[in-house]
Amino acid sequence: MPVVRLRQTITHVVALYATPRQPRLMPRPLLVSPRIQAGFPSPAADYIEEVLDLNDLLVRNPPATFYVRVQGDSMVDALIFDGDILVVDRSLDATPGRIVVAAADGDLLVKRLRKIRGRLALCSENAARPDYRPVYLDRTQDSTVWGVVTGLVRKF
Amino acid sequence: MVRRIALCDVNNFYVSCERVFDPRLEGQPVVVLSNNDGCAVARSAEAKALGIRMGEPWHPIGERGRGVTALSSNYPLYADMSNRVMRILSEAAPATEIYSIDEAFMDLTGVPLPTAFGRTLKDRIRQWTGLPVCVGIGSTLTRAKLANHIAKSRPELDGVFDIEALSPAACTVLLASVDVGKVWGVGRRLQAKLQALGIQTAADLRNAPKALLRSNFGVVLERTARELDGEPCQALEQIEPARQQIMCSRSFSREVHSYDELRQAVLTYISRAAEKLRAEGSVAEAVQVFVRTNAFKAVPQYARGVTVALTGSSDDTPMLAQAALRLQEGGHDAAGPVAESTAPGDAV
Repeated sequence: MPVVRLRQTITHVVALYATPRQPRLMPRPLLVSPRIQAGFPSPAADYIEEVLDLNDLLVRNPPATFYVRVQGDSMVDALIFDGDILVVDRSLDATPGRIVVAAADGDLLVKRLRKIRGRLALCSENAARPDYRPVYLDRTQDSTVWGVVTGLVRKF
Repeated sequence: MVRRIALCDVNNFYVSCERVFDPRLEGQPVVVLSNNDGCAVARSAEAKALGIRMGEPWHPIGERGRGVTALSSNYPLYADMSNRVMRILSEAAPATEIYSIDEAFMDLTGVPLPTAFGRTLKDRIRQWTGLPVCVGIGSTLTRAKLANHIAKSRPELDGVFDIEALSPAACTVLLASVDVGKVWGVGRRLQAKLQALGIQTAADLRNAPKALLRSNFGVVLERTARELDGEPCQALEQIEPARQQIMCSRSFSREVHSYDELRQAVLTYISRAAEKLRAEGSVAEAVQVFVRTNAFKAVPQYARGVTVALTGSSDDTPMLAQAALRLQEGGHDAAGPVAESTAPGDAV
């Protein structure tokens, strides 16, 4: 699968993955254990609810969906960590409140889109770093929303 | 029902792909280089404005165009982006034929407002993939292709143009403003021959006596002229994809004067082409070898290409190499400054 390395920036997108044309993951049966809250579920209690294909789950509109790998710590309060892979759908409208990939000053950033006193801004979410200031879209040259983040993939 | 064909293609495709993922490149002169970083194979509008030509070896640009960003090509990325565009087109249009990596014909016959449809497609591709496209619409493939050329060259049209929306008189004025060389299927060589006959513009070609075209240039150009006039001669399904060959070529890093050196180069390229053939699981029906002098140097120019059909289809390196060398021997003796040598195999 092709990977594009993007220039490293303080905040975020560093690589891009092509989405497979045909899903390559084998659909996995989704096991649901309704009675178990914690501890080890008994295999006998499991039953197959449906077949889960991760592509179906994560990708709603294949030609408009991109995977990007992120770098940086500005979104840790939104549980987006350095090295995570985000699923980005470019066909969705970016509305305030959504996490977006945005182009600002030539960089691709991952931020929460907010409306602050009537102005659209890209906001970091890291309480430990108050120095990450909002980026106002009307004050930043050539800034546009690139796509809407719809999912996150992380391997342990 | 009135036949409506649209041609949609991506502007400066490779450069546009790179820009999607690096917004810094927006508005800057950018070129994408060929496989071996030898030549510019794609140019942004800004790079074109600097006079950088298609296929131009990279070094002269370095001297001339400071501030030009040159990128190595990333074909897996371009293929992925192409798949996205083609998928969007084929999901939207009643029928689609892919013509090349960055262009496709669509049959819009029966679509109520073709221009509005074209605009919707253009906006959708821009939003979903980030790529800018132009859409040309006409009653024949040739007219659609021409309309696409107009859409691309006139910014006020905003990338979408339906040539059938013009009155016949306005259409004639438009065709008279287009060089005959811009017509689909009319190459540079053909253009020179046509000009010698006084056929300068697309309008001249349309109006030229069909018998004259057929007897001088064959039935293909006659069809082109008929298509320009709105008479469909080619169906969407008949379109041959633009690329049915594998090409391995490269500019030499310095001038080549010896026959032996040239022979080595041809062998190298033929074995690379054969590898590609095998990787694709195809076989070649014919081999073509060409050499040419550096077109960017003020020296007497030499160019020659020869093609031979293989007795049986093959993906076998020694067999292809034998054919290539046989060609080359018959092909030429004195190699001047040689700039390029190519060994494509026409895939079946």
